[in-house]
Amino acid sequence: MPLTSRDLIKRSLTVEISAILTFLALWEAVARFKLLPAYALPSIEEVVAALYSQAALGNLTYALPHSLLHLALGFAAAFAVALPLGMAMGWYRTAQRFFEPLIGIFRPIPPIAWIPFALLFFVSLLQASAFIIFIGAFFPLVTNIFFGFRNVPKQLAEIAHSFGASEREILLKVAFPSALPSVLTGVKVGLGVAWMCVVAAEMFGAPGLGFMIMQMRYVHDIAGVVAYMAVIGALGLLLEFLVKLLERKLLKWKIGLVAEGI
Amino acid sequence: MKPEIIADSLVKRFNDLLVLNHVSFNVYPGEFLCIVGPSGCGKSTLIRILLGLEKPDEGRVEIHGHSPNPRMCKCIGYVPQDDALFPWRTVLKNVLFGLELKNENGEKALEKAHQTIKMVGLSGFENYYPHQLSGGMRKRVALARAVAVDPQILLMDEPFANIDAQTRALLQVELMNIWSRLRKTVVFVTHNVEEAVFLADRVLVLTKRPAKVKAEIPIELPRPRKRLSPQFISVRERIIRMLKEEVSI
Ligand SMILES: Nc1ncnc2c1ncn2[C@@H]1O[C@H](COP(=O)(O)OP(=O)(O)OP(=O)(O)O)[C@@H](O)[C@H]1O
Ligand SMILES: [Mg+2]
Repeated sequence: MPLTSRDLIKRSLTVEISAILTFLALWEAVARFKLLPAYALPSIEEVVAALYSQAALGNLTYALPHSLLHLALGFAAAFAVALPLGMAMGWYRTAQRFFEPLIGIFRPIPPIAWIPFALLFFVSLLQASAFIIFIGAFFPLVTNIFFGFRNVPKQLAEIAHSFGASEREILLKVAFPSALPSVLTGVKVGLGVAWMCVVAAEMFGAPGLGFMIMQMRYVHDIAGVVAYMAVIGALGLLLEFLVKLLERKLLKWKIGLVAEGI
Repeated sequence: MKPEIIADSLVKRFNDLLVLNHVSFNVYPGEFLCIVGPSGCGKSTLIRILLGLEKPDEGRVEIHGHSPNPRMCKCIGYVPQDDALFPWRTVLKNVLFGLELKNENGEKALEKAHQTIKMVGLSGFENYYPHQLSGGMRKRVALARAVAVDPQILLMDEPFANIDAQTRALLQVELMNIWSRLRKTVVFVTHNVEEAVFLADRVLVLTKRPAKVKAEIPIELPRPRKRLSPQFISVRERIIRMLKEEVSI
């Protein structure tokens, strides 16, 4: 039976939870039996304690909203640029030919390499951090949006044409819904990469989870480092879950269309 | 009477493949024209040229005195060979598509859509997505989508393929009703000669590729036609013989 968004919430997460428990058990075993030196791998207990003390000190509650703000700004800007650009590239061959080489040049440059440039160009650390995240989110977004608009089935556009639809109407009523699954894939991947960039984006002093990881490292608090890593991981998981819910809602028509092993 | 559609000496090539070899015919207002011909001879290509989706290499098309263009499309209903339904729209929303483009919204459009869905026998399936329907049901949705906007001209490319004989016969009768009530001009491609003889005022027989017009056969039997009447069977057999000549060579 295909799943709706409500099912997805209600469904017991047995398999998912046992995956995480297995991982935690392995970690605890390695730490407990000292398979790795204690300074390299803290135990779960130490990490929880570090997390608790960071929360109690107010560091966590200060860093978290800042990181989310960087993410929101950077991602929103990336989406705002990638949507029209990917759309134009997918729909008009000339736009594709113009922008493809440019994107080809910029895509291999890792977000972290943009830090010096970001610091020169932007006055505030907030903008600079958001910019690093923008770089991370932009390329997966634009690639997937482009892909979606490039692959609009011709017969469907022709049907709209046969009803006398204008180009604008064809874009709006045929191309956009047809590209939506790819757009959402772009959002999912882009958001994931953007969140991965949060450490790079806060390496140079903007407050946030990434900044706190650097701080913990300076004071040789490896449990603290892992505590913030765990927060980043958990939030990433939550973000992905939210996008999946959105996907289920917007792509109801796809339910039951894709193959699934038994 | 002035023809509503003029196809004048159409030639179409795909790379080196000559598909249409000077095909000419007229369709008159209110006429029901069926086109039959061997598979791959260029029937779909011909329909696509009439719609302006494909450009002829030579010759010209005139509809209401103009060459095919988007504005004229507003008065043409098109049922493609592959049903080409919008997979993200339910049956109801698919049927509403053309009405939305004509800025017909609200109660009246909805009622029209429901009525058309009922006509093709799909009441109760309004909220199904295309992939939840059978092949024949999808064809019927495509038909409903084209008819819902009440076009003056209907171009139909094998709309009843993949539909069981009983449903098919019902749909043929229903199409006859729409046509005789509203006097639409219909160009209807089919592989089924009996269907052509049942529906058409005139049957256009095409040769194998490259297609030429092999014969134009007026069907002068009174309607509603009896499929078992001797006249019906004799015209049917005549057309089938013509097609056999094309396939056996
Ligand atoms: N876009 C295209 N590019 C190249 N060749 C094409 C294209 N469209 C059609 N053809 C060729 O043109 C010929 C006629 O195709 P068409 O679809 O018009 O046939 P048809 O008479 O509708 O056949 P059927 O009865 O099987 O539907 C075929 O040989 C096909 O390979
Ligand atoms: Mg065909």
